[in-house]
Formats: sequence, C-alpha cells, structure tokens
Amino acid sequence: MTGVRHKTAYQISALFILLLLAVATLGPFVYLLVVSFVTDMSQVFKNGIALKINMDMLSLESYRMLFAADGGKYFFWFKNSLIIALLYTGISIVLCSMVGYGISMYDFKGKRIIFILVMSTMMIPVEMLIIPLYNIIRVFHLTNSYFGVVLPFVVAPFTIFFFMQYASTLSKEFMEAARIDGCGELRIFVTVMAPLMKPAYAAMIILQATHSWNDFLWPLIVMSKSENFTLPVGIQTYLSPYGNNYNLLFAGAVLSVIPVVLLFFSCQRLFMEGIIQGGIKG
Amino acid sequence: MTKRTAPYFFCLPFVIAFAVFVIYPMIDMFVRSFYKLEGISTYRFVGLKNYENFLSDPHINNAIFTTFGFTAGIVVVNLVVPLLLAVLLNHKLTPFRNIFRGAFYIPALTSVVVAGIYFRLFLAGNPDTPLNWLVRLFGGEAREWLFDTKLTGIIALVLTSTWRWLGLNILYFLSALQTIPRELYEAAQVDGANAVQRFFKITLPGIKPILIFVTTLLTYGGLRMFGESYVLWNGSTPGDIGLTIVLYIYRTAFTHFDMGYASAISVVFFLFLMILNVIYIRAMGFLKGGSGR
Repeated sequence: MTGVRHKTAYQISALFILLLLAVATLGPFVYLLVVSFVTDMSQVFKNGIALKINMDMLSLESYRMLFAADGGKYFFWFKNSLIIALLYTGISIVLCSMVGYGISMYDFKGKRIIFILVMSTMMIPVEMLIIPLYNIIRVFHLTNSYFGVVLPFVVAPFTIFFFMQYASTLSKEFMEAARIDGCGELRIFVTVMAPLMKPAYAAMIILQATHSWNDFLWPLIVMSKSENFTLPVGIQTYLSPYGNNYNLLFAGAVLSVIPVVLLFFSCQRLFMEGIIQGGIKG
Repeated sequence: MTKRTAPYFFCLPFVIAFAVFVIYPMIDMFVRSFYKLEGISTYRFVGLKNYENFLSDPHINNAIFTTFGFTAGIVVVNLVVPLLLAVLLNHKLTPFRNIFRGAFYIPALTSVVVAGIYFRLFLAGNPDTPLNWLVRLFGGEAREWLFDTKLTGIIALVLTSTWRWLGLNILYFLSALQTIPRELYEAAQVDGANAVQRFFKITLPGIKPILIFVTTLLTYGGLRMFGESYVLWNGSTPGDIGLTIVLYIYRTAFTHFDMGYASAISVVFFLFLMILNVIYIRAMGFLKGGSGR
C-alpha cells in the first residue's frame, strides 16, 4: 500500500516543519516567562539568550519589584491601556461597521468616491501625519487624555473595508422583508443586519483590541506624563539609556501579554471563522 | 430616515474623520514644510530651505536604503513563508491544524515592545545565541546583528517583524485557499498533475486577489516601518543602522523639534506614496465597482 506509506510520510514531514516553526514562534514567550523569574539580571545581561538557567536562580523578586516600583506605576499603565482599548474598540467597531455596511448595502450618489477614499486612506501611512495630528490634539487640549489617543484613528479604513466585504455576502432580501414590516433603516441595521455580521464583529473586536493594546507610536506622542503612559510606552522606558532595568522589563512584558491572549482564546473560534470564512476575498 | 438618506448617515463618521484627521493634517503638513519652528511655538517662513536641506542630508539616503531594503525583504519573506504554511495548514491530512493555526497567531497579539525585548537578546553578539549558533554551523561568523552593518540591521528588522506578522498573513491565505473548489484539485490529480504543478496552476491563480491584497499590506507596512526599528535600536542608531524614514521623521520632529524639516520630509515621502497608490489602485482593477464581488 504505497498510498498509506505516502500519507504517513507526508504527515510526519508536515508535523516536523510545523513543530519547528511553532518552537520558533512560541520560544520567545517561554524565554520571557522563564527569565521574568530570574533574580540576578546581570546574568541575563551577560549571557543574553544563551543563559543556562537552573532552579535556584529563580524567584518572584522581579514581580515584587514591579508592584513596588514608583508606587505601583505599572498599574496606572495597565489601567490606561485597558480604558483606551475599551474606548477604541467599542467606538471603532460601531462606527466602522456602520460605514462598511452603508457603502456595501446601498446604492447612492457618491458611493464610488467614498469607496476610493476609504481605499486610499488605507494605504496612507498614518505615521506620516503624526506631526499635524499632534498639533490638532494640542489645540483641542487632548494631550495626556484618553480621547487624544483614541479619536484620530478610531475610524479605521481597514476595519471599514473588512465590514464592507463581510456585508456584501449578506442577502439584501432580509432588508426588504424588514422594510415591508415597517422597520426604519437604522433599526434594520441594528436589529436585523448587524446580528448577521457576528463573526465579522468578533474578528474586528480582536484585531482592534490587540491593535490598541499594542499601539506604540501614537500614545508615545500623546502621553507625555509617565502616569498617563500605556503599557508598551511605559515598559519601553525600562529600556532606558541609564542602564536597562531588566527585572521590571521582563516581568512587565509578561503581565502585559496576558489580557490579549486571554481575549484571543476566549473567542478564537469566532475570530478564525470571521477572518477565514467571511474575510477578504478580493 | 429614508432609504435614500440612510447611506449618507451611515457614511458620515468616515467623512468627518477623513476631513478632520486626514485632509486637514495633510494641508497643515504641507504649509508647515515651508516654515521653521523657533522657540516653543513660533514659526518663521523659510521658503524652500527645508527642501534644500533634504537634498543634502546624508541621513536621508541611509533611511531610504534601510526602508526599501526592509520592504523588499518583508514582502518576499512574508509572502512565501505564510503561503507555504497556509497550504500545509489547509491540507486535510495535516495533523493538529487548529492548534498550529492558533500557535502561529499568538505573536501577533503582542506589542512591538515585547518583540523588541526578546529580539535584542536574540540578535546579540554572543556566539551561543541560536542565530549565531546556526550561522556558525554553516561556517559563518558570529556577529552582533544589530550593530554590524546596515544589511544585518535590515535582516534583524525582517526577522523581528516576521515573528509578529506571520500569523495574520497565514489567516489571509487560508481564507483565500478555502474558496478554491476541491473538485479542481481532484480533476487535476486525475489528469496526472503533481503537487508542484497543482500549486502553480490552480492554487496561485485561485488566490490572486489575496496575493495582491497581502502584497499591498506588506508594502505599506514595510514603507511605514517604525516600531521594530525604534525598540531594537532604542532611539540611537550608530551609523544609521536600522534607521527608517518614519523613524527619522519622528526623531527630527520630536527629538530635535525641527517640525518644519520633518514636515518637508513627510511631504516628499507622501508624494512618493501617492504615486505608488495610483499604481496599486490601477493594478487592483478588480476592486473597483464597490462591493468587491
């Protein structure tokens, strides 16, 4: 039976390749986790990634230091990141799903122009606009505020595009039926069509929440007082030019990863479904 | 709200955001590129001076070299590797497909800062790091990847970025692969086509739209590279290793407070990107017409 042998050979080699790459992608997490328990960071500094670790080097000292440093400033950062992620994700998916749905489900004058504008905005690196955006934020006295971080990027062209694509797979007959029942257009969206886009919402909640949680450049610019930092901005200060504070760095990094990983695993199935089944097919 | 007015209501958030956070900043940036910031908030008109500086600034060339080198690297690596992995993960016989899909996506959940912490150590000069060990295994020399040459700097950037970008690209390719009807493969198999032929004759043409889409995302992701470069070299790049265009703009604006010059660099880079946009939108002709299918 060459067929069976062929099959097993394929499975073994596929498994080998995938395992190798899984080690490369997950290795950093294991390393960070283990090193966050190392007490004497000069060892890490000296040997870097080639450090041989044995049990008596490990303790909870780094985490104790993290909780104590600067009166628990780390938890201010954690709180800031949480609030910003909630605000950003919430506002963003409501507005973007509206726009994507509107472009996709209606025929109207100017549809083409709006579509082209969404596409071009998707391709403009927002990083180019940081200087004028910073000036706008300053004029409105939004520096060091949550809304200063959230507002400029909350209507995200990629998210609009995704909802547009997803909405175009829905049948307009549902809308017609609801209209005959006397539903208003907004109610049709909220009660009939939006629930049909559940996988798209799941996918975008995860993408937008992780994006906001991990965003670095913009909060770095908007937030100048250290108690207002988000996690990435704050953790990055532990890599200061005055000597790296590795204890705080590793423990802080490990704790910062946990919320998004929990979020991901809690709706992984819906997320994958949203992206894979309904996503961009061009 | 009637059926006729509803779409305008739905599109309103985009129109407002576009006017306030895209169009206005673009005009502001253009105007500011003719001024020089003096003191805290006084601007003095300097005409084309900022643009003249641009032409004689040696950092610019270095930044352009790194940015384009990185973009080329990231496009090639992040098309080939995720596509092959997606094909593998899409195959019925592959074991533990869902677990691997999740595993490859996890790095995408982390911040660039976390990636930077690990990869600064991973790319260090110690001869016993996995990377240097591998290089020595093939007869190469251990090196300090972050501080050796501009080229090793680019390799370092590509490695670090790929770690976080891989998972999402795999998902995009998987989504496209699942739209190809299985009967096509079965028919080809009956006709005696081998796996490689099937890949080039069925798979690649079948996922052409997503190939263009991912290439676009990667190109712009590459050209706008900032985060990885910032955290790997932490604001100081000896010999401009790892200095990208956006990092240079950031540093000019927010470290040297030369807002006018930073705006001028942005304007030039912007014009370049707009030209690229036009080319891409033409290439993506299939996307015209609105809903996409």
